[in-house]
Amino acid sequence: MVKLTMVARVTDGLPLAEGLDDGRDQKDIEFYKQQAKLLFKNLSRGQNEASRMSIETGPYFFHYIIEGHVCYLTMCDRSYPKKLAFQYLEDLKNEFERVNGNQIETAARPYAFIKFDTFIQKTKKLYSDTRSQRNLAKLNDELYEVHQIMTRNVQEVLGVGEKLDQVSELSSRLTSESRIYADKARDLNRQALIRKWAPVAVVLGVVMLLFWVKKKIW
Amino acid sequence: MQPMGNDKPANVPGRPVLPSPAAPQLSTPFISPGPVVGLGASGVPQTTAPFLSSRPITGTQMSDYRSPSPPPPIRYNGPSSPPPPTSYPGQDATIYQQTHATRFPLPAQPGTPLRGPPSVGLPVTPPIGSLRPQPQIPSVPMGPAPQIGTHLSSRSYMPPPLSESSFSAPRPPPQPSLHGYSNVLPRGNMPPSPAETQFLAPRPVSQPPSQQAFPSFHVPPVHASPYHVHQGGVVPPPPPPPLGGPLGYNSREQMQYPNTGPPMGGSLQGLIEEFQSLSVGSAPGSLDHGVDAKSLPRPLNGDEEAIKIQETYPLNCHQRFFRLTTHAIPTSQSLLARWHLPLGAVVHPLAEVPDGEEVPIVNFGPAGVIRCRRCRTYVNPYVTFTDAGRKWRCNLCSLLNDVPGEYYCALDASGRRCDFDQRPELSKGSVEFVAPTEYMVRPPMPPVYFFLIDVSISAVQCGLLEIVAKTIKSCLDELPGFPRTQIGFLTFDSALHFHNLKSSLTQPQMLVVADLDDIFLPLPDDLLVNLSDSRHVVDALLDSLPSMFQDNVNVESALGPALKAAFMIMSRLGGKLLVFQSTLPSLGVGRLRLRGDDLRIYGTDKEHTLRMPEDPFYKQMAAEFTKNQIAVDVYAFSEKYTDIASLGSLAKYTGGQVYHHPSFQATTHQEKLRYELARDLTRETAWEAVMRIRCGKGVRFTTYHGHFMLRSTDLLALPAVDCDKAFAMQLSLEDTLMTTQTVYFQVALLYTSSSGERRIRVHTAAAPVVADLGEMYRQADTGAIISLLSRLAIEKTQSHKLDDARQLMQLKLVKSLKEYRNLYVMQHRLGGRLIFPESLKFLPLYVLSLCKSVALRGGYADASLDERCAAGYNMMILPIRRMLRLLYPGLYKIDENLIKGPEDFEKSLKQLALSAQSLDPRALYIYDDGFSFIIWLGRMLSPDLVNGILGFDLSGFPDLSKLALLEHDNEYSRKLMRIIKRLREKDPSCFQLCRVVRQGEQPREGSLLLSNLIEDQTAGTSSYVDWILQIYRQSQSS
Repeated sequence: MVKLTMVARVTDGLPLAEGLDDGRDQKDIEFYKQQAKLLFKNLSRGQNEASRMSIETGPYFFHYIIEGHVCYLTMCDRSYPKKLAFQYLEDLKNEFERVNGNQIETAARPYAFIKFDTFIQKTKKLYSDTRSQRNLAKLNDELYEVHQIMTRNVQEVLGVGEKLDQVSELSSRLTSESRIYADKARDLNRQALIRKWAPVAVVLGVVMLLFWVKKKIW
Repeated sequence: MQPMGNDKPANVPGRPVLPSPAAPQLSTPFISPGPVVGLGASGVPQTTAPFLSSRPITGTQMSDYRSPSPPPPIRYNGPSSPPPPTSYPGQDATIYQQTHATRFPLPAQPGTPLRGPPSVGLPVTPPIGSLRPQPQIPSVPMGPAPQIGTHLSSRSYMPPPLSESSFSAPRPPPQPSLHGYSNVLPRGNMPPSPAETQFLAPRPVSQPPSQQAFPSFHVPPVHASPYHVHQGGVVPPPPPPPLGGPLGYNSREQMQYPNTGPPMGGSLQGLIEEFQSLSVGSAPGSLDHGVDAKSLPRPLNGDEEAIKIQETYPLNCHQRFFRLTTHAIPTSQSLLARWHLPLGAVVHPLAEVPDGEEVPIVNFGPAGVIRCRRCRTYVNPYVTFTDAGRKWRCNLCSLLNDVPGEYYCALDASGRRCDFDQRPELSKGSVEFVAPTEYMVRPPMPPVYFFLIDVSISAVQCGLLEIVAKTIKSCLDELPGFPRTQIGFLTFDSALHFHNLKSSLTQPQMLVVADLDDIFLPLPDDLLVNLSDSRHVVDALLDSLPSMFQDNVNVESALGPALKAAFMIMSRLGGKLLVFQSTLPSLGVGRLRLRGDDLRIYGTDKEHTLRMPEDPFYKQMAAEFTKNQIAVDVYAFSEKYTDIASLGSLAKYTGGQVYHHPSFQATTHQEKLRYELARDLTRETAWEAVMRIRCGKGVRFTTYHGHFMLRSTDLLALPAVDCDKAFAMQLSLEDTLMTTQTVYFQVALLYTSSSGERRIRVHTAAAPVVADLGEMYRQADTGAIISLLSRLAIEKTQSHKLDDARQLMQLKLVKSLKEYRNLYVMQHRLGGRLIFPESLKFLPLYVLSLCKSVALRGGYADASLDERCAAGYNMMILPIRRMLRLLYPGLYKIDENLIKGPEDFEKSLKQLALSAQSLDPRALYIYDDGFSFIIWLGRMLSPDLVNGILGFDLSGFPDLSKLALLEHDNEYSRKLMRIIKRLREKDPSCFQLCRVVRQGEQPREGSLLLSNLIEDQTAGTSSYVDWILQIYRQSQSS
């Protein structure tokens, strides 16, 4: 059963289309959507990932394929045949490239191809029942091989990105803290200077005052 | 800024001014305390005038003035003060300065003087006015000059500062009030002719002294001493209004009274304003009043938008999107307390724009939308770029923000960005930004339309079901958002009928659920389907619906459960829910009972409960709907009570609309329903929207009025919003004293368009901060004020008696006029006159009309409860233009057009005063309030014409209430239809149903037309003349 379908551009992680009312009866769907978005973000950072991959997360699997700078991602139950899931994505890919192929690079706004959701919806229905004749036939189709597709855990995948995030955060913190330190040092310097010369200045001032008073009085 | 006032004393002695030859006439009113200065002067021969006039004009420059050589004194020949010759030099000098100061502004607002008094030609009595320096400064009165200077530089529209004094003038007040100024400056020299731009024009105008005197009107030109007349308080009835005018006011626009009161001479306070006055009789309170009904002001030319504001603030968004009740924000709370009208704004974010003025769309791409870090203001034309273009300063909170690298652009010499012209967000007040992903919590939703249709016996019998089905079918092709549009249907009587529209079916399947207590959906999918996929099934359903329920005898209506079911179907996506209800909901949750037929409750403290939803179910439901982005439009049809008050709350909290078609009959009302439903379905709609208004430091929007749900303190949730909805809001001052000179407002509407794009529509406007109450009055916008007032009144009726609401309105009006009176009356001794600012001249009429509107009028018998509530819901969303049309409907005499038939209707149709006196029994009239047309046939109208129009003879006294006006094959009928069509085109948001009524045909004539002639006295309400007198008396009494 397909829970979630998203299409995004790999180069910058811009979402292009998404299945309509996906995951209506799931409460945690938002959580997985976030994970999917993180995944896109990681991909757009240019980490060289395989063009086909399955990633396990909780009770589900993300499956995605990357083709022509576009990532097609779906989330299915663990029990859903991997083979079918990838065939589903292939179907989406073929149609998407046929309809929008030449505009993918120029799309400037998010969900520029949201109209594609009607096709996603229709296709999803075809794949929802694993035991329909059509799907059984696909399962038995030996030509489509999914065995060598790698399976990883979502923590691993996102972990890489997280680590990078952490490092960059640390370094930015370092910069800002060092700037604060520099400010403080300058401040201290100034205070030291004042402490050093203030007495002298006061004494001088008093002397001058005396002179002046003297002059006035005389 | 207003240095002159202050300088004056000092300068006076210093200025060597030779007494001008004209000296005798030139009195310097300045000094003279008495406003009504001697008219002795008035007798001044006009010959003197030329001299004077030439003077002022010549020396526009400061330098001239200051030059030691005695420049000819600029005069305003204030005839008023008895000229003591000795005083001359000094006085003149003072005048001098002032005049020069005043001059400056002129260039900025050349146009204004044009409006010159129509009366121009008359060599009227000499102007009495004393000079007031202030007027020019109005808009930016307070700040230190340097600041202003900087502003100037940053804004292109400012005139380059000529000199220091020019500072004061940077923003000439946009208003017509300027007239006042114009008069003031040149003082007598101004030639009265309207064409005068003479300010600018250097050439001497040899004119008779202009008549600025206020009284000018009543006083025949020759009149020697108009003043005295005033003083006495005895005002002769005004002479027939000048040609120009329907405006009967004595002075109408031309009457500006330059402040006659010289006392203000140097003082800043001087409110030189022009105001209008209306003489109400020599002895206030006496029975025979001197009000001439014909001379009262009437908005016969429709709403005139304050174009001046657009001229002074060219970077502001257009007035159609955003209007302040007064385009001048008070500087302190004490000043605000003296402004008794509401301070606020009316926002119409999606107002329809004429072709060619579309709001430009801006896509920032990867840079993201440029916004202020702190207050989240969107970049707009008023932000200033500094630091060579690397930083920008937010105009609302003055925070310095970084310019993202992608958005960087160098600045030119004047501090403007070089790409200023290419970037609409920096040159236009209204833009739409394409929203990046961060502005979406989910992918853009498709347009969703779900129909909840009552199929009980009453709906079937009146033909409602058939028309609704046909109309929906005819609109299917035009529904926005193809190919994503989703559609669904649910019909109900005592049970719920779901319709399976799965695209693989050939015929729709109906699934009936009779269990109303525990609603469940018989199918998980396919109750809401993609229209393009299931089109044939939807067509089949709509074709069969009317016949399916044709023999239904069920009288019950389970609206509550049906709403719940619809909610379950739609909650995933949101969208628009259209409810068609023809009876009182009688089953399941949300059942309502008959109320409102109890006469005794009227006039008691419980009266308002009738206008409030009785059952909290509807409000709760509405809250749920809003949360899930569902907007509800309620169509109510019953002739009997349906509790619109309760049903309407569904629309109220979801950004919807109430369409009330009382006593619906297919034969006569179908066109209206068809048009309105089609418009509802096909107009451009903004989905899942939120709106927020930001404003600069020191002010805050406190209350919001309209149809929406308030999500946090200032975020309006609008599941769907379209071009027919406007919102009003009130402002309050946060600090006791404002520190800035300009306050900025920014309306931002984040929405999903039908095509699936997420956009942010941003309107930005600026308004000056003023310290002068007179300036607030000058900049007041009657349309916005009455729009806000009527919403306040409607809300008041929901917690108080109708009478309280009416009194509140009257009180506000009276207080504001009284305050205004206090500003001027002392100086002017306008004993027996009602005075009010030019900008508010229609306000008394509109308030009267508001009190007589269906929502507020009378008591139990004057309007049915449902009509009252429906009218109330309607008024809450009306844009200003339609509101004004509703409050002062058009009445046109068209029989001549039908007979003679000049091709150009627009020009020949003249709007008449709304009073029975305008009705001539030999003529034919059309009455247009924006919601319906009423055609009134005079008793003595030629039978030919009647036959032509109606297609039959009136002699048989046929029942006209069932009549549907059709085009017949003759010239009259064709012309009439053309006129009607033309009138309808003026307001596409509503279909005006045509009803025909014959003179003397009671009670229809009374209920349809006579009760709407708001200037007439009807039971329990006053006529326009009485109203003015009443207002006058109340504003008199302290």
